[in-house]
Amino acid sequence: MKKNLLEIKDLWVKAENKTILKGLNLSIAEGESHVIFGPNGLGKSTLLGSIIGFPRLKIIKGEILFKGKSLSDLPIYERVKRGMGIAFQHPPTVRGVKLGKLLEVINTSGEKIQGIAKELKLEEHLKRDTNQAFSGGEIKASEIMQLFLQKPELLLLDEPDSGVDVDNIKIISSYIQKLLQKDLPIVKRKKSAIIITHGGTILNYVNIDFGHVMIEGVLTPQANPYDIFDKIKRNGYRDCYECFSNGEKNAKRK
Amino acid sequence: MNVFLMEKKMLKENKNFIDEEKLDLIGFDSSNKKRSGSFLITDKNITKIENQSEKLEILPLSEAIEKYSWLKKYAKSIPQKSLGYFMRVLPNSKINYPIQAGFYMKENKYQTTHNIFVAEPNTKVNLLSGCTASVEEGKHLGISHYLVRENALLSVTKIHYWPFRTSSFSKNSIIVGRNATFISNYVALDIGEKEESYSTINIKEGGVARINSIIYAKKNSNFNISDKVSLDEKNARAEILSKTISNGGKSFVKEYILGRDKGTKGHIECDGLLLDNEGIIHTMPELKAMHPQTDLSHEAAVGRISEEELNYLMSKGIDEKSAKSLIIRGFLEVKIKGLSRDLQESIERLIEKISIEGTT
Repeated sequence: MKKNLLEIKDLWVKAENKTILKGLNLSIAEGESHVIFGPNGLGKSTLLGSIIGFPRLKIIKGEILFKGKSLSDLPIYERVKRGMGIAFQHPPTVRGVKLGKLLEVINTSGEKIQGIAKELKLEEHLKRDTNQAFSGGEIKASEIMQLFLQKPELLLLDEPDSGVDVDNIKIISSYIQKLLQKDLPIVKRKKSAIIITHGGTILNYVNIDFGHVMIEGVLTPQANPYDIFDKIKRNGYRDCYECFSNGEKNAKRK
Repeated sequence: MNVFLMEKKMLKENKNFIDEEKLDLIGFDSSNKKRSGSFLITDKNITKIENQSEKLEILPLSEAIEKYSWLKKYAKSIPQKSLGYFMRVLPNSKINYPIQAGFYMKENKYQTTHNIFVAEPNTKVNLLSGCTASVEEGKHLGISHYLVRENALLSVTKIHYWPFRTSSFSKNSIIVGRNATFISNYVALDIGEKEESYSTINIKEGGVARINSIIYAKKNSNFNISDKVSLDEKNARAEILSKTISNGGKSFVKEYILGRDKGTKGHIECDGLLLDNEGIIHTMPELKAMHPQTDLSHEAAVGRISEEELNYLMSKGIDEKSAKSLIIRGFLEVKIKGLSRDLQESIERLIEKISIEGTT
């Protein structure tokens, strides 16, 4: 049996006096990819933010273990050094810091920046301030490229498919597949991911192992992501959440 | 040689070494390598005039005023025996290497200079102008006129590098002729307690001015900068970019563009980064339109390093200090064309120093 890379136990998180996560549990083993579905604004990004350690998100109860050790009180960059990486949905523009410079600084894998930038159609963007006037698709490509240079063990992907056209989603997904070692047999994969999606497009391009639905700050137990998505398309998020909240077998009976 | 003479010689050599080091910081190359001409004032004396190009005229200003009566028109306020340079690029010539002018306060506490630079029609030239001092306290006053005639291109890079207890006051008047271009890069990253610079720029038909300044106001230093651009004739254009970092110092930046004729266009961008609670950045972009077909705009942003940007960089595995330093370095990074590699490296070293200072 594979080791758990990430374990979240009874997590309660508050942001600006509003409790967003309300007793969330999640276990991710080495080599597993999990997708989280759910309507906007109900805590999916808060979950990723809490794992990476944004100071504005206050953990009021519960804990997050990464490789068996608690992350509490660890600054963001230390968490990244321990092996996690995040791709944002709406990253800020970083004035004065050129994308090329940022990529150079974070390139711990020794990958060749120019070649990847060309493939992801980001060559021109290397000279621009990071995220300055990038389109939705360019932002996603840039975020995935950053992860590709870092090669984290746990990928946190916030809506990697939103605002990306069909041609580009294929290229971006191919990089996610590489990062998740999808070319290896499942038992040999070491890289894991939490992928947040609203529209579910990513499921057509990346083979994802498990799915969850998030409503009101908690997750349903893990189930087949493609079954979940079918039900969401037919019955909407809330019905689907109720359906899967007692486990996959119960959901299938329904 | 007896011991006394040897000591004296060593002292002299050491002093020369210090002088050269100081001058290096402002881009003044004492060996004149890759320079078309050189003019150096040390204290109250002209200590170097060299001219390597026949397309160039370099004279002490006092001699030039006697030679060219028309100069009196521009130099009304300049006393007959003024200390300073007169430089003139002859018509239809391109000067390949930059011309350098240095103003150095070695022992005297006061220095006043008057300078006139003329780029005649159809010329292209770079001027490096630097000010520095070895005295620990002092006052420098510089008044300069730049005449950029029709179709000429003059690029001036001014570097100020002052010890802590010095103050500097400069006044510049620039006339940009028809279809001429004037580029000014003002780099003041290590200044004394007070630095004031006032420029007026008048632009004729189709002329262009690009005014860039990068300023670092450390603790106990005060900046006061004002650029007034007047787009006097049709299709004249101007772009002003001012970047200021305050790390405890006070900076007052006033940038002004007036559009007086058809097809004129001007843009001002003032960016300020405040690193601590004690500094002040006061920027005033000001536009005045006196013709319905003038197109003027400005952008200004002053603030701290945003928490969101810092968190973003940290989420990429960069620690807090390095993230701040990356932002500061990026903020000040303005590639200036025509700089020698040495000078570009010297500016980069200063930026590096500031980026580290700014994170503590």
